[in-house]
Amino acid sequence: MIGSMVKRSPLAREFWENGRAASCPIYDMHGHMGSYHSIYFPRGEAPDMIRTMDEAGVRLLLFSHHAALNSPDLGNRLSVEAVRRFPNRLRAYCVINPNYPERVAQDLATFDSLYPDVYVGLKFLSDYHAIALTDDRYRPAWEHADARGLLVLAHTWGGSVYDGEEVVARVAERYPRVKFLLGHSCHGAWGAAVALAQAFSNIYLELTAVFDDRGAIGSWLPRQVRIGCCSALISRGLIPITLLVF
Amino acid sequence: MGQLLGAMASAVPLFLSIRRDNGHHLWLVGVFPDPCVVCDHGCWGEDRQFRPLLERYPNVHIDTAQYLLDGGIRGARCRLRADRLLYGSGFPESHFGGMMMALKHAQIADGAKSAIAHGNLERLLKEAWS
Repeated sequence: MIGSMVKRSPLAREFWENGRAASCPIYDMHGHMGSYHSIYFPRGEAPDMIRTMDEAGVRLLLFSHHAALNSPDLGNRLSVEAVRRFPNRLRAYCVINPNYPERVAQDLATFDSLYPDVYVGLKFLSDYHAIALTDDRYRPAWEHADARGLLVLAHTWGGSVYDGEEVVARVAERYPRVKFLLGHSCHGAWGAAVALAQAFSNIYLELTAVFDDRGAIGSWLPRQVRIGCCSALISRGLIPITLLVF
Repeated sequence: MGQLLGAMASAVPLFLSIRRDNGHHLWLVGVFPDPCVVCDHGCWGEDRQFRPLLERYPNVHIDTAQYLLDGGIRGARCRLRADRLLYGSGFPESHFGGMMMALKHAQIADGAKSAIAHGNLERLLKEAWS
């Protein structure tokens, strides 16, 4: 199958041969950065990630630093610093951890001063923070995003009580001005993800972790699909070749 | 289990899934030093799990299925030698092209890529059948 697609598609051939395509730069909508407990990262810091981006033809990476996700004492500071160091290659999501409402209030209060030069939108990690997207503790952030028509990237996983397909539908309906990017596209519940994208014009699907389940991509709507690869977690090329070849 | 132990005693290669087995049968690696053992592993930079195995047991190899880590193949090759790595894709659960792409563009020598893609398995099977 790889051989036939590479023969038929100049774009697939260019990706396969070079690891990137000059005519098809990538905007990667879902990345991370920095160390994470128990995980080895050969290229986990910003300078190394920029090198990987160059090799893979990624023009711009939208990311959330692991410290912002897991270390509320540090919050989004390291994300902001990385963007200021590489302003032409990086934009950060402002991570919202509703377990720390005072931190959320601070982050939302400073958001406008950092948007769009540093922040591109908000990031929710409900499964890990163990608070449903529909929970009242997320409401200030949703209302902030809805009022401004912001991009919100949320980790979503099929069947989850925190960010599964049923939860996603409720918040998409409640906040129609939010540009809602489903991280991992309700992983495993692929049909439900497609149905959500068809039902809500403000929902977009994202490819991180989709490649580990063969056959999912074929039924998707190209207009509402966005690239993500969870860098620095996932090797360059895995997402583009999966998208192009299968 | 009896059949498995019998096969290992006669040096038949064993393919052992750390990812699905959670390492419950890794003790076999120490008990049977002769047969070749090929392990897979999970996707979240789990070098801390398989590298000690490779360093301690010369008969252990790993495959690349789910080895998604950016720069992982190069890191493992530099540290451990390419003859302990075998290409794997996870197919049909996963697409086989993803790891082909990762191996093709890994920053290692062409000879190492060739060994990972096919040479190592051919050598191991030849040894097992001889």
